[in-house]
Amino acid sequence: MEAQHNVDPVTDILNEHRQKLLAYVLHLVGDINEAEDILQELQVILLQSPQMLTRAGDVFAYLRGTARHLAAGRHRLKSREGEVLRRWTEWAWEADSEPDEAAEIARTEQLEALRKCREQLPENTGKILGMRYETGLDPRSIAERIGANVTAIKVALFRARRSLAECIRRRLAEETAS
Amino acid sequence: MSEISCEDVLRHLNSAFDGEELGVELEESVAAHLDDCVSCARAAREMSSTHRLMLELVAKQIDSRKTGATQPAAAIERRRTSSRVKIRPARRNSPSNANVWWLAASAAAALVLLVLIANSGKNNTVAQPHPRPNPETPRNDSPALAEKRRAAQDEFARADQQRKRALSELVELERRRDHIDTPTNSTAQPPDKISAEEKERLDALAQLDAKRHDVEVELERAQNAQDRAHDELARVDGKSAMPAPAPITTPAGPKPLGQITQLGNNLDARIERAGKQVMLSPGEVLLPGDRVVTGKGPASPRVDVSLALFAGATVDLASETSIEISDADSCRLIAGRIYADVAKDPSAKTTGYRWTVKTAAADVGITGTRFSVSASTDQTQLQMEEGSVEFFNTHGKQRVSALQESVATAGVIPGAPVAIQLSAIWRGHNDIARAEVSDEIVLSAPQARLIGDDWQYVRDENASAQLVLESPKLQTRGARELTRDISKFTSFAVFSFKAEANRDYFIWVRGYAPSSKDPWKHDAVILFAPDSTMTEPEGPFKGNAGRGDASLFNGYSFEQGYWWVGGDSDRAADKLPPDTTPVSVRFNKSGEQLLKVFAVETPMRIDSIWISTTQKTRPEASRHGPLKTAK
Repeated sequence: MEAQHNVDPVTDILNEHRQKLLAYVLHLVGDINEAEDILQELQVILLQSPQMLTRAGDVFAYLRGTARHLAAGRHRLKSREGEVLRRWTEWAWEADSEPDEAAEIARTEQLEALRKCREQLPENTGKILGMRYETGLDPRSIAERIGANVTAIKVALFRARRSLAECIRRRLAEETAS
Repeated sequence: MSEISCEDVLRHLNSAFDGEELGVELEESVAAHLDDCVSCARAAREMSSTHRLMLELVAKQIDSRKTGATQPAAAIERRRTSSRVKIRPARRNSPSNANVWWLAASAAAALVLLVLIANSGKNNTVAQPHPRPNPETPRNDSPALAEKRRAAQDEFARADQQRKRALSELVELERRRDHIDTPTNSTAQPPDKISAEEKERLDALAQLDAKRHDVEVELERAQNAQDRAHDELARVDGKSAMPAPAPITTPAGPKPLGQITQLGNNLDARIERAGKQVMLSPGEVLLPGDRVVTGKGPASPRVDVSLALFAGATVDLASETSIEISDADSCRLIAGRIYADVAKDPSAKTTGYRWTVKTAAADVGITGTRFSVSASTDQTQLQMEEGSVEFFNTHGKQRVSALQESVATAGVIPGAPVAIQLSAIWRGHNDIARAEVSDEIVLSAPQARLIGDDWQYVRDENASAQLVLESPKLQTRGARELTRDISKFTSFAVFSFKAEANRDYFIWVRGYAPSSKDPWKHDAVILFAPDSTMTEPEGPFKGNAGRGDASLFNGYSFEQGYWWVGGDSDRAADKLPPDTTPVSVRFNKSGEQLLKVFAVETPMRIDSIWISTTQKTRPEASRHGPLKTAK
């Protein structure tokens, strides 16, 4: 007899939000292994108490809140540090609540645009961006790694983000026009 | 606006994306600037989006690697030995087994720690294992340095193996000791009368203890070797390559009993934990002894905090409530009002309570039900919505069933239950969900979330909030072209609000068409509410949106300045606007709703959207909603 594989609703919901959540936790902790550990802890908590998900009005916001708490517990984040600016550093997550088909399509298109825009970055900028996001290094470690000044790395990251933002905007506008 | 420059603001924000702590003062200054400066705010939002997209790209890459054929062994090993105390298997994402292995691993880890603590005698501090050095880190080393690093890494790995072996052996020894530790009946006899059986048992124990001593020495050696390898690696790298592990002073922290799930707007709501105040946020876990306290609120009780307890209860707290999460099976309502929904446990035995609410005057013993309790220092009122509970104190008890109420006063048996109406029971969110939905909903431009770049915020003194949505591009897009496959259009402004299902709401949109070139071609938007049924009266020229969940709001150019349009208001110049009957919408489900505004014929400015159960005729252009009138 063929075995049946039932995915429980909690895992189903987590899988649905997994990539977005992983990105959010990476934003909080910077380390891929640690981010994955936090998501796993989150899964365990939810599997133990699935009723909490049904009580949450905005599931993604709830998952983010819980993940944030777990991350804070590990890093003993100070309660005020970063809080004032959080609504701006986390604006892109705050703006995203319940899954919405159009928003998901927009996200996919933005990701595709980002991928193409990254290819157009100068080699060094692309390398620094890769170290920041893919390797998870902070500007100080990047500076140490490539023997550069920390300020130079910060400026490079700032310019890279700004030029990516402009490029994405332009690309999406061109695609809509065509 | 603050004095800090736009460039500096964005640079500081950029540093915050990279985890740099700016300090509260600078953060406040940056945030204040962003609040005031529209162009900086826009740039900040774009940067936040780009930062998030970059992280999502990484997340996507990680996921696609995982779903590939196999994970590289090194990556699996790295994860297994990453900096955690918990012992865990390499396999992940196995939902059916997740609970089982987590519990097993926790039990094993706890046992190991208990063994070590029980036997350390002098000191109950256990060193946390060092994180494993990452052999994949690319470096530009000299050959001698590379050799030193390799040697230190090998030594670290050897010591790690020895440490793990010793730990496993200790666990096994402890298990065997437990097995033979039960004394036989003869232990009370004098030594010369000890039975052969007992003598054999004591010898075995002595052997085990000797062996255990050896293993502990071995463990200590392994840990020291690992420390030395760690220091050597740090020296080779010229810095602390791996953070020194924090000692664990207790075998495990207190086990969380629940979690905050929702917060209202009560600014005084807080957790009091061990004499300190902890900021409330959704997801905050609740530990034994935590007090959740809500501050003063409005006269009619509302839900200020909701929490879920792992014992299977969800609890809504009204204003001015203080509740102590005592342990896994009970809480203490010190003052105020709660509404609790306790799930029945099908595996529970018939005796004993699943959960208990204790108050000064009487306790409530629950097996599974929904009820409301309010308590003061000398009186407790219990209202049952469903099921039945025992309401008791030292003087006696009452069984209170669904739609009954009992009041207990300190020092006497709780009062006999009396019948009550369901409407008399405060039912937390179940009440609030109904009460929060307003008959008149006014959505003003700043409440919108902008997706894509069709819309932006601009200042406009003629608008109700001095900030309007503007779609500045000169364009004419066919309404049907847009609504035929609306999901393809990914640029819009979206509002979220609460409304009831199966109720007719009329929609009025206050807007302005500023174009002087062919104004009648540049004066329309489309509103789309997913999961709704919209009814739009037929327009005079262009027809309607062509689908049952969207409507065309058109003809803004026929009046000067901002005015309310209730559908297709296109007309011949000398005629009255035809949209005397506005578009109406019925939502398919109650609660949170979405309304998206698409740019169709632009430039257009939108000030506000009024969703009303009563406003069937066009409001005065100067009105901003049900009450407000423009200056």
